[in-house]
Amino acid sequence: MVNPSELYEFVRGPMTWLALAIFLAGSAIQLHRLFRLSARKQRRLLRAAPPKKRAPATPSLGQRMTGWRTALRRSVLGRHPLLIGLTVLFHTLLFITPLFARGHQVLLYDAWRFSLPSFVEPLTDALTVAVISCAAVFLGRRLFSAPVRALSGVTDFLLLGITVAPFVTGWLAFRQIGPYPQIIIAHMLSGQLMLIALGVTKLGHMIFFFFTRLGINSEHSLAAGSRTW
Amino acid sequence: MVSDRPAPAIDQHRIKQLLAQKKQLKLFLSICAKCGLCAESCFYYRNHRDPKATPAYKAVHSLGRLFKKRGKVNRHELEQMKSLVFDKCALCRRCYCPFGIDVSSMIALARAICRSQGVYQRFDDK
Repeated sequence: MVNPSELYEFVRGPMTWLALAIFLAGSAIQLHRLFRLSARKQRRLLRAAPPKKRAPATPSLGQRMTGWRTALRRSVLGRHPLLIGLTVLFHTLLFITPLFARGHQVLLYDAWRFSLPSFVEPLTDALTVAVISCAAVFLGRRLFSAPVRALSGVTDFLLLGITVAPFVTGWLAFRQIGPYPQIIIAHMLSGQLMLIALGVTKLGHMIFFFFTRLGINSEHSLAAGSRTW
Repeated sequence: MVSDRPAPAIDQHRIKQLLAQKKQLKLFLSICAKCGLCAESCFYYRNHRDPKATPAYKAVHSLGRLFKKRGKVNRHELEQMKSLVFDKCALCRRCYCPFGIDVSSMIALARAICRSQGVYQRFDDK
């Protein structure tokens, strides 16, 4: 039988470093692959005709509004504003809630005599509930929205579970619901599992998102686009 | 007229070659979070409400499957892909993705692979 305090020390110490190392190495390998495969640009086969020289016409406010409305309607933001809002909130909170949690900062100070500012505990508590609620909405979509259900496999449910598990266990530990020593170990292990998954699974979109959307000059990136394939 | 001649064997080496030319798409397929947000950008999906007609479903079950099986597919599997990439996609390039994944490039490659094995839209099909 493993002694809980020994297990706690192991999870807090070597296991954390191992998870961090897998996360960093996995991300570095994936990023390297991404850049290697996107470095070569395909020659553009078709070019738009140069614009005819005309006296510049100033579009009226109404014309501009129509243009914006059309562009918005064609975008994912215009089609699903509520869901996009929820997604942005979820992803922002995934990052900032653990970063500024008081308990984490205390541990950081204990280890390295250094800490970041932290949120007051009721705020962290509320943000954690918000993350869990967003995850519940995403789970509902996976289960009840026909197109999303058709796309979803076991891995997708598993990854959602891995993402939200540290928040559920953290909330239970904070509220002292259930056996605290086991819950806090489960909290740390689930956090480390998430860290590992960030490096080796499609949760790596945490890093890739910025590169695919902004950095790489592909047709759909927000940067100046030309096809890379 | 539909030919009665038996279909030639699948050239898996050729499929592998075609896949290797566009390895980037494998990486982009692996980023797909299967969020389904692309569904509403597809006019075919919006008209038919067929869950198997969303851009992500079509890409994952055609090119995604080809990459996953490393080109080792049989004719029956290619025939199943044919319905996805020829019948349910017009390559209109209007699909969007929160990650900026270019779905229609994937469908275009899946089409090219199907065509290379003699699987394509035949208007004299019964």
